[in-house]
Amino acid sequence: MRDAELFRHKHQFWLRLAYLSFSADEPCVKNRLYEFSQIEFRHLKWLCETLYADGIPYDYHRDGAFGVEFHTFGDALRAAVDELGSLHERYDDSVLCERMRTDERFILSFLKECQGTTAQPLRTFDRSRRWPDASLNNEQTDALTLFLFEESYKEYELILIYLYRLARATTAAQSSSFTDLIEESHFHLRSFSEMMAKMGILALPRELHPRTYEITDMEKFLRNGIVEEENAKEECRRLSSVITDPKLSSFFEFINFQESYHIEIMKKLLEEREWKN
Amino acid sequence: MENTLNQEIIEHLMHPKNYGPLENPTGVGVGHSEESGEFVIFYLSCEAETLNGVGYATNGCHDTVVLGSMFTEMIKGETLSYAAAAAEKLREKVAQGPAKQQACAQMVLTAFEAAQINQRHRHEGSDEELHAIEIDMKCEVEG
Repeated sequence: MRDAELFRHKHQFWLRLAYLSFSADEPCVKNRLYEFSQIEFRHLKWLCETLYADGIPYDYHRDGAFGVEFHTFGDALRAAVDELGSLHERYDDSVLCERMRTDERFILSFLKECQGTTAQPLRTFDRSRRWPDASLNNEQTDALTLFLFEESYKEYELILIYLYRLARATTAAQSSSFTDLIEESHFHLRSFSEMMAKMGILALPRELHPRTYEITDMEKFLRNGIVEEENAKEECRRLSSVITDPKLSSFFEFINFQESYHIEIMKKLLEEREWKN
Repeated sequence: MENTLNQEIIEHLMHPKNYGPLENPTGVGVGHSEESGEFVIFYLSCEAETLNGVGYATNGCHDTVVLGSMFTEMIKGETLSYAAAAAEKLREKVAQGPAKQQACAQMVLTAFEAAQINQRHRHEGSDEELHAIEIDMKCEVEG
């Protein structure tokens, strides 16, 4: 049945696959899982649009027990396999649910193939806070840690806010801009989460309160969003100057320039006049 | 809260305690900045002056998350008067720290105060869903 409960489970399953990917060591498995998580996100987008069109309310609440931290990769895979089983019981016979079911049958076979070779403890949650690719002092490590926690939450928040707005877009320009912003935030969330995993501090971003995404004044939201993007740019610049490692520093410069273009997209959205809630 | 990260702070960042709404709260309060759109929402479940349950949520920065997590852990299961004293102690402690931390603490403590006001209003028969208080400080580090 297509309802808020299904939406909640699909939201969690997107996160499940994305965080499985961030936890994985083997590059081929990591990439495949990330591709599958993106398929799950598209399911979520289609479900969002269907629920909104049918006037069925949904939210971004997650089950209290839902988490991504496991002792071994095999434990994490088992959780995903179990969740797929209960997810399929919720599908109806619509074309959308049939598409989701067939995608997930294939995903399930991949998850099962990966099981059995993954008994060693995961390092992604060991809290070591060591950056393996360069030597960072305590100040640099702390700055990087805080940046990653801050920004991974913000990117998750933005993905969900823009997804909420995408379902309510009234013009092609709105749809195009929100789609671009979502894709950009996916890239940032993935990049920051991979870095957190390397440092042993991978964590699920905290849940969004409805006050965060039920926006009544879009102009104000966009103006605040531009200020936030400018602050994020400043944080990237600051981090790039604190962290002297050339590779990390150039990565934060690269992110900094991406934020500049987000500001341009948001400015374009400010020209839009008609918003739906 | 210290400026140097320790394992306790990392744990609060990875798994904030008491995060999220309570079912059937006795009081709900919001501390928010109209200018920046940041907020903390605080939930109380209080029986005979004892805080059986507390919860919070925020769109603010990591300092707000950690302070909310620590403060709710301090007051959960305690009396309202203990919680008021703990709030004062927290305020005094962050007053010696950076302005940003003071703003974050004010947001958390204002939301707690607003939740208590809402609880009083409900006791008096009001159907107020939540009580909101605007604050004039804002956290300057955002994503």
